[in-house]
Amino acid sequence: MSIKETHYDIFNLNRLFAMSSLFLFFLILWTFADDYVRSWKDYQKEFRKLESNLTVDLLNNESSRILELEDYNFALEELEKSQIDLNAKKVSIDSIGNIISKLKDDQFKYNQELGFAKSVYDVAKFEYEYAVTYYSSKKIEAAKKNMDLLYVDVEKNTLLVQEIEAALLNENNQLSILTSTFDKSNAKVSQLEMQKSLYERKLKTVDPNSMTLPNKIANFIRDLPILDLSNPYYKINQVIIPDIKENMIFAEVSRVDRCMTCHLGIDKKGYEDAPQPYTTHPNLDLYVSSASAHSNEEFGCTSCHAGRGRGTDFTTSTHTPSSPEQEKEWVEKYDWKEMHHWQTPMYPSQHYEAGCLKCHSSEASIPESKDLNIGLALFEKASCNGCHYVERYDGNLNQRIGPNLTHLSSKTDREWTYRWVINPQNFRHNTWMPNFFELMDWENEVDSLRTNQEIHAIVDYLFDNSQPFNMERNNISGDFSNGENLYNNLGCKGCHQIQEEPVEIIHTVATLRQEYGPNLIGLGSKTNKQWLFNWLKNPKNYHPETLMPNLRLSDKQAADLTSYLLEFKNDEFMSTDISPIDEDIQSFIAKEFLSKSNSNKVVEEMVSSMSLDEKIDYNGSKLVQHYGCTGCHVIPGYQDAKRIGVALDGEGSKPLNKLDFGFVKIPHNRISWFKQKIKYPRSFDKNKVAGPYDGLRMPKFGFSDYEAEKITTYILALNNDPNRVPPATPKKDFIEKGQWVVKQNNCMGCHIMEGKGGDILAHYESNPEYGPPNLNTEGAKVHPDWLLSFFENPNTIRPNIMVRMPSFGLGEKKWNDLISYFQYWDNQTVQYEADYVVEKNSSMYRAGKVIHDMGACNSCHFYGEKLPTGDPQTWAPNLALSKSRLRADWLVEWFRNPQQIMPGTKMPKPYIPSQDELTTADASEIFGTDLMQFAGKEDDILRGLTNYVYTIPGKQDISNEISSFFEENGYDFLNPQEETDEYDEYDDWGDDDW
Amino acid sequence: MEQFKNFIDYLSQPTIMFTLFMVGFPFFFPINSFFDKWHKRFGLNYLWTNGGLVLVMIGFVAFLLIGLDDPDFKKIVLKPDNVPIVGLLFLAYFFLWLSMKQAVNNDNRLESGKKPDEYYPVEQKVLVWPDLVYVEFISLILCTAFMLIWSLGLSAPLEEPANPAATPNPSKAPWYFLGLQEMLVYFDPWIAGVVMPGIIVFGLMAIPYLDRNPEGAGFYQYKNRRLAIFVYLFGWIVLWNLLIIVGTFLRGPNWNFFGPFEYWDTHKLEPLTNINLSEIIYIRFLNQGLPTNILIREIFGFILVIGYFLILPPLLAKTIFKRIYEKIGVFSYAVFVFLALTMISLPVKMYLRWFFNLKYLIAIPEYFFNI
Repeated sequence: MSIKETHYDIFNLNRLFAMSSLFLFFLILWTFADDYVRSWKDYQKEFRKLESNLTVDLLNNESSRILELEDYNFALEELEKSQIDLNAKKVSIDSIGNIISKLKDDQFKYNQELGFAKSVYDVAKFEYEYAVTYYSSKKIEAAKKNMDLLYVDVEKNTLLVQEIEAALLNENNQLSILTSTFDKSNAKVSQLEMQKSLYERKLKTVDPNSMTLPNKIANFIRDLPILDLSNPYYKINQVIIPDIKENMIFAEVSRVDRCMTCHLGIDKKGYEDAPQPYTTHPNLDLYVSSASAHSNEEFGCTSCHAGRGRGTDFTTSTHTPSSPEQEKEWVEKYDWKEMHHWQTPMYPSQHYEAGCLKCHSSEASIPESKDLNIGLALFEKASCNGCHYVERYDGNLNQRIGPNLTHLSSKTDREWTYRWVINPQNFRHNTWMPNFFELMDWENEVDSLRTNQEIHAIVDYLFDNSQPFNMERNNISGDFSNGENLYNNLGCKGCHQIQEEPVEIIHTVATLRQEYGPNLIGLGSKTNKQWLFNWLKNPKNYHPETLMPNLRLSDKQAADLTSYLLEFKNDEFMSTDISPIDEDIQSFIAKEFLSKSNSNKVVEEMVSSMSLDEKIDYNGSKLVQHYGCTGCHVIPGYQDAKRIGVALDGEGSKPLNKLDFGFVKIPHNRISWFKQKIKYPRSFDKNKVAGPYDGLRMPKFGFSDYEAEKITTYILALNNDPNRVPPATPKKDFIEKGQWVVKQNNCMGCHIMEGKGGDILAHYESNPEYGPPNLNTEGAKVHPDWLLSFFENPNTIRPNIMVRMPSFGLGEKKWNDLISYFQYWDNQTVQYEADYVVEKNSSMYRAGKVIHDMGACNSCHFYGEKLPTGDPQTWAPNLALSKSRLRADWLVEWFRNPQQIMPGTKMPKPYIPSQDELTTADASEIFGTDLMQFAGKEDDILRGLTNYVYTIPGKQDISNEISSFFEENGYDFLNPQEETDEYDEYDDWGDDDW
Repeated sequence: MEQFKNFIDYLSQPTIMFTLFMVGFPFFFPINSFFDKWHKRFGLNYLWTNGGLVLVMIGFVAFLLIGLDDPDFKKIVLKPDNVPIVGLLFLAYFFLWLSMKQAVNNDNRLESGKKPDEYYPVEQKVLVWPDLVYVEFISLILCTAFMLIWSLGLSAPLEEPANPAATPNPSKAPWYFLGLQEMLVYFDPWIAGVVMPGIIVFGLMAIPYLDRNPEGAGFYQYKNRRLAIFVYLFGWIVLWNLLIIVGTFLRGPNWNFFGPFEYWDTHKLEPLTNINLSEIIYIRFLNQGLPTNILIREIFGFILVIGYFLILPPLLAKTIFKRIYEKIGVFSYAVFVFLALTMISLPVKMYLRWFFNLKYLIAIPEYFFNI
């Protein structure tokens, strides 16, 4: 076969071959380039520059800092001096050095010889042992002789080696003596320069310009294509979280987060002002850093922020823009596309707190999550839980937050109720009852007429089925201005407001606490004297599940408050027209409902056989269920009705195809749908053809964009993403249970707890001590059994404040939850404490008495029924109550520093003589020997004082005495400036009685 | 432009497109002199020339480029799954052209008395080494280059994690089964998925035994192999490739029809008013209820189907297929006519569905037997 023979045009084929090979070659280069050129490398390169700049800055700062230090300069001088010293001794050091090196050579030689000798000896030893076992005595002898000879060698060599080693040690010691001062001062300087040298070393690794030439070359080579497989500088940074998995339906895989490939500065201080993606994470103490509760190694990034952790690119990590403007910017800058196949895209920046709740859902409010907490508070205030089940409220918050409608006819009348139902905001501008009617702008005349009839049906149903209510008859006429005074000062403002004109506010958790109870305007048009009197005297009588507590009002006080509140009328509201009942439309409504379970023919017959009243009753009962009134109100006949709304657990993970966008043009993603739903709930029905009772029923709350955004964060937070709940400890458990009780009853509306709340104190700005107390350290402070008895039957502790702790009647279980919460909050977990026995016959006790006498405690404090000597402004709690109420350990700390425990308190620190004062000549006369014994021992002195205070006799509960005093004398010292015109006219308190 | 798009959308409806192909097919591959005359009159034989290739390819490319302007078209055509099917268009036409060109060429040669091309000993030898191997090697390089460009340019499509609770809509079979999935619209799954494919395979295997035409053996020819080529290409182009193209590009959510320029609206509704033959006859015509006895109920369907397969063949043997019957004998003819009728049953069923909303001729859901 001749290779030359060919029948094709070889020249052309050669050409084609060359071109195609070249083409393929370049393609292969392209494949390598495609793999090598990555956008994250650019980010890492830029960060490297930032990092080296920062390190340079830090280095310079550190250098200049230590140059300013006296110690450093002194150490430098010492170093110089010792260097000179060292140089002077150079000759001897060098000679010793020579000796040492020669000794070392000898050491090596002799060690080697020793080793060989040992080895040869071992052989001989073996042969001897073998000979003893198997051979004749002649051979044994020879072997033994050989062995012994060699052993002598070994000993000789050993001695030599030991000699050398001793000599070496000696010489080394001499050397170190010579260099000792130098070594010491060198070490001192290095220690001071430690941080600086760390920065220098860092700089050498980071900044190519500060590297040595070999390092520069290595730095270049390590990142070349293909060679970068071994140890590149620019590489993917990933963290693997095996237990917070990613749900892939058929499998759950470990979470892998590669975010830090680009977000390089996120765990390092110093990049707070750097541009994204290098910015340091806010609040490094709580997030990301290794020592924090949410460290990067334990949580990664996507467990909180969602997103696609395995992505190494801006788009493929599913960053979500926070606004259409940002989206446009991203499309331009990064060619951003939505990765709509990834089911858990990253939360946009305004919703990033949605990641907190899935682990912290057992908590009433999530610390450090401001936005989420506002969302939670709005959700709870608007009683979304009434229609939409959310598991975390089970057993923690009541479902029904609206008034009880079982005895409606005793409270108000149909005239008012009709007008209220059609549009609650007409009566109360900031009511939380939403609009069920007249909220869709595409409704027409027919719908409007039908709406009126629906409301008639509902109102008539409620009143016809209203059960009788026994009201206490009251004939006392109330004093309007005293009522106003009571309203302003008894503590009503902790939950209620009287706000006749709407005020623009941006809601925070605090403002929502202040709206915990309704705005008390217009009551004169709504209800009657008898009802309001009965309500104020005992709310639970009318509504057993009410959150309003009992203020323990006397009849007169209740009557005064009633007359004050009923002064507020709303005539404009009451003068609007009510359309009359229209039988045709009522029939239509009845037919609509009946057709759901009967054929058309049967429906006609049924409706024609119903009287108007029957139709209205039927319609009302159906409509009340249809609109879900039973979700927020207790309604006669429907006490156990189910919620009509969708259960919201897992709503944040709902697939898009389960959300009905209708014909509304909003971006096709969850966040837009939730926002739209929250703001305009029935908008998804627009342009749809359906019967009047087939459509969406959610009412409109009138949320602003800001509020809708916060609530959307909450809805997003209710998802099925894998979580890692913090480990359950008794402390966590008890504190959480207590926090729910606190939230449910709005304790923070009056009291400062955990450093937050106390919203009512805004009305006591100039003198907060007349407001409800700060409950700081309550767990360490009071005896739990006293606290329980206080909760069940509050008595007066602070005698001179008008605001009073209401009786909540929560029941023993909830009180125990609360008490445990206080205790665990202060790490006070001893369940049972032995009775504290005071040894009266001791010098500690007597010393305490001396301190007490010096302090003149009776000038402010009550001693049982004995009045303090000072004015009521300064009155302080009854000391006879101390033993049963206060814990001794706390009392000692209280005496040590009252301001620290209760900032702003008027209690001074008791005067404790100093050690010097107690050791002067006449100390025994002034202070007494008992006190002198404890000179300088503040703890013991304070304990003695505590013991003494515990033995103060007197009546413990002086509530009656106090209340009768102030009934006579009045509280005008409380608000000297707050004198309205009306107050002046009704000035029957008599300031001069004092 | 809008009008052009609407026109194409209108044309792409299965009813219209399929009918156009069905009716036009004999003109492209004429089976007798009548069609041949019109084939030449319309100038369709230009298709099989070099110029024709260039024109058609440019036509395809132009259509695609113009269409890419439209976002819906772009979405379908550039979907990585669908890109190979766009290639199918070009490839199918190219290989068809390649063979038809040589066939027409040979036809012309035979007509003028010359021998076909393949007859002449090849003046030029082709050696395995270096010629063939060299060419193969260059092809290897070029294929590799093509694949590299494709894989670097088009990323493999990765959608959401498979979720048994959420079926994608539309849920499409791989392209080689889309023809069958399209058939599912008209036939019962058992027929369309098992019986028909089985018969297709059987038919393909039987071709050498049925086609006893000694002419045109060993060289490309059209004239003397008209029937065989027509039947085969009808099955291939119209009943297989066309349905694949319909299934890939023109079927959207809920397997509704969407023109290439139409937006894939998941909420689009088509009336589902298909009715079985037994229901048409008993309930609509005779105003009765359906008989309880299955055989009586489905008697009309049975008559039609059995007639179609048992009575029609002898009739055809006496008329249209007379020559074939005489040439290949009873047994082969039986197999041939069975396969031919089965093949035709697909368009027949399609038209029955389109004209009469017919669902099944025989509907026995109790035994999962529907035709």
